[in-house]
Amino acid sequence: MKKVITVICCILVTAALYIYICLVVSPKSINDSGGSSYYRGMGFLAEPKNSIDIMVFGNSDVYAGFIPAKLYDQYGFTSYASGTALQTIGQINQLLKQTLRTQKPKLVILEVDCLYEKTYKPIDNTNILLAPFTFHVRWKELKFRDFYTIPDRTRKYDIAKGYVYSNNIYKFENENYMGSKDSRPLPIPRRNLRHLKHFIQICRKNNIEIVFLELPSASSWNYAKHNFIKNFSIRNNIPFIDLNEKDSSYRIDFSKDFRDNGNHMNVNGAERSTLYIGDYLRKKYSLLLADRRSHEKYKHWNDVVDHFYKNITEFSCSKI
Amino acid sequence: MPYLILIFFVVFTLVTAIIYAVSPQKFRYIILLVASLISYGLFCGFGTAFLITTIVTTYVAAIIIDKISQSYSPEGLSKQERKKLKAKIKTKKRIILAIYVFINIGILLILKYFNFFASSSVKFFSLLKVNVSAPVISIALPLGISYYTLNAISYVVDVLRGKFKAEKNILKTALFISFFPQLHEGPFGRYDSLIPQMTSGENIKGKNLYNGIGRMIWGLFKIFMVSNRAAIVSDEIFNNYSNYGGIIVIMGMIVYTIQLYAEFSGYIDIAGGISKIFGIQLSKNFDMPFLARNVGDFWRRWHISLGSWFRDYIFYPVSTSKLLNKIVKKINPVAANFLIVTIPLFIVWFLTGLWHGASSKYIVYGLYYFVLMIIFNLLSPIADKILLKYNISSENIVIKTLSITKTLLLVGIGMLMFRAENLSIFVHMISSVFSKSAEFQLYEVIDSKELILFIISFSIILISAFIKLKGYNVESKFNTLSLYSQYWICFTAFCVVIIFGAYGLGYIPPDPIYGGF
Repeated sequence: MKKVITVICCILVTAALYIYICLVVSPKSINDSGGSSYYRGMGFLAEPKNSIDIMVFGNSDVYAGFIPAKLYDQYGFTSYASGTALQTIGQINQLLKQTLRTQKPKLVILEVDCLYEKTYKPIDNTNILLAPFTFHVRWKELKFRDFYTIPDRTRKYDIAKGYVYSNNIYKFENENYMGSKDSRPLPIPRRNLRHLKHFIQICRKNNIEIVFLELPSASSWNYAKHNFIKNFSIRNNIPFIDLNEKDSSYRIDFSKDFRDNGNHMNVNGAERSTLYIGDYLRKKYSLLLADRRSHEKYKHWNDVVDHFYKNITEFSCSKI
Repeated sequence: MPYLILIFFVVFTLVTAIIYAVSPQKFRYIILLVASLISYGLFCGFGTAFLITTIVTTYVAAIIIDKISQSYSPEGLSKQERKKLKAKIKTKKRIILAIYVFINIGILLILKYFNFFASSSVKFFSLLKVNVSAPVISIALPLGISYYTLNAISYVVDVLRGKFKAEKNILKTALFISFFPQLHEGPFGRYDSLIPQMTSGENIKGKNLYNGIGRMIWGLFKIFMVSNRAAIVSDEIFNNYSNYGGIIVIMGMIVYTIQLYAEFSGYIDIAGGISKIFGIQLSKNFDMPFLARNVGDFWRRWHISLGSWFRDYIFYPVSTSKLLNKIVKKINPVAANFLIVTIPLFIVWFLTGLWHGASSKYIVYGLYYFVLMIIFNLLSPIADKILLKYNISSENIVIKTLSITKTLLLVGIGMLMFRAENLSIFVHMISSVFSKSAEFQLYEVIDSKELILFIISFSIILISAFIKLKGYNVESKFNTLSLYSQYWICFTAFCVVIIFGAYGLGYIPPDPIYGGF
């Protein structure tokens, strides 16, 4: 009996110590190592209940190319950019389910580049029990507060609403990255297709309108992908906005719009693409989406807008 | 190696250990075999077909060789007839062995060396201004093929030599060849010492479990705390070799040597630890190699199992072969004595170089040690005479230190050749040792915290070697502790490795160096 108790105590102490280590090494703020992926896409959990009308899901293209502050400032639509690097549609489904616990979005924009993401992370980097493995570089930056603070993803209010500011300019030269218009449609991986169908099912069950969007991404997008998504969207009656398409009224400025090698937009590109999307939404969903600028409940959005413009004035554009 | 694969192995081992522990004793070796084949199949997919081919051919060849001996009865035969019969049996056995070796070495040659020989031939013919083209084989090299092929050959040769009977149970032969802990980076094992342990179905004992886990964590410590950090510095120097010279090249050489040792011995510790959990003791592969007094001594302490394989299955058979003895008989005794050692030694080192990789660099690497050993064999009697003349013991601390330093320098040059992309880069780096170095900002390559941790971790390895040298056996001491103490030591060490290790996001994991062979 004594042996059994000793073994149980041993297991309990091990578990307690291990959990404590997990808590210590977990990022406590968005600026800690690993903090951006741990908190950024989840900031909507700290938003006031039922205050977000538009959720934008996707990978890094979303946090680089869509500015909720700008959309609110110009059109009064409340939105959140829930995008993290290499995010898959499977993970987006999880995020969507979490969103629905506190929010009732009227419209969901899915940035479709993530549908071609083949990188399946074998370790879920949001699982606190795997923190020593996923945040193992944290030992270098541990502060006293890390030893007594419990990471809480639901309380990390992000005033940028998921957007990551950058004023870097990368002049991109290959303007013909889309290839031939008649390119054979490139199917998305089967696993992603399964998750996408599930995504559509959840949205329709909750009366949420869906819009497919592809933000300008010269290094990852082309007509083969466009053609597949276009066919899919027609079959499923989902609008599809592709800002890369040559026929689109949206014009990319290759000398000003990108922050890196044609993959992510900078603030110039993001402002223009957000305005284009806002205009589209106002025209097509005027009955669904309300202008919240005059509502008392949404007063805090003024701080969001101020914060965004403060960033612009503080940082002058620099060239890479 | 991505850390997830190592973690997979740790979890895989624990799951296998649980299934092994609850299985009936007589079926436990089958659990080990199934686990080995599953893990191999997961990593190699189609490559498993080559492993199975080797298993089947090994089993069949050993059985046939055994049967040949049994099918001839010498009773009632005259002495001459017996002699003839013996020769006939020997020839038949050798034919079977030749066919077997032809198949298995053939697979290895085609998969590992075909492209190298083909491209070398094309280059050779182009020098003669003859334009030829050669096909390229693009099949991924099956994991551990060099290890399991040589292991399997040693088993069949030992059966032929009559060391033991051929195994009648193919599952046991398969387990010996495919045992998962040693399949990746060795060490080479011998059938007669391993298979009784593998098939005994020994219970998982607490002492073995913690000893095994302790060794696994020690291996992970060497890889994640030392090797992966050393790789950050050595990769910078070797990848940008043209920028550096002088002391920086020497630093690169030393750091790479530390990296290679920590990585290779780390994997061997993990393999040894996993095996220990199942009560299996793998052969020793390292014995403080950097305290070697000469290069021969170094190779008796470094990758010991490879050296002993070449000694038993290449050096001895060649040096005692009738053909070589016939040749040397015709020349004067001094030259004959020299050749009877030199020729087998040349073959051994040529093959050792080739075993390390399909590249002229590795062949030269092997021959470099051949030349050093020949020089040592010629000079050591002279050195001994000088020491004797001045009445200096070879155990004298100054002589010992000088010998070790000389060996380290020679081994370091070998390591430089081993790591350099090709021979011309090696020559460039060696010559740049004597030129002025470009500025090397160490903190731009590795941050100060990482560097401090590397120094502390490497010091722990040095201290462990030092106390071992002083006759204090840490492992024995660990084994005498209570199971609870062992448990908490393992848990603490595990936490240290996962928190402070250099792996995963933010680090570029270097590929396992010996895993590529």
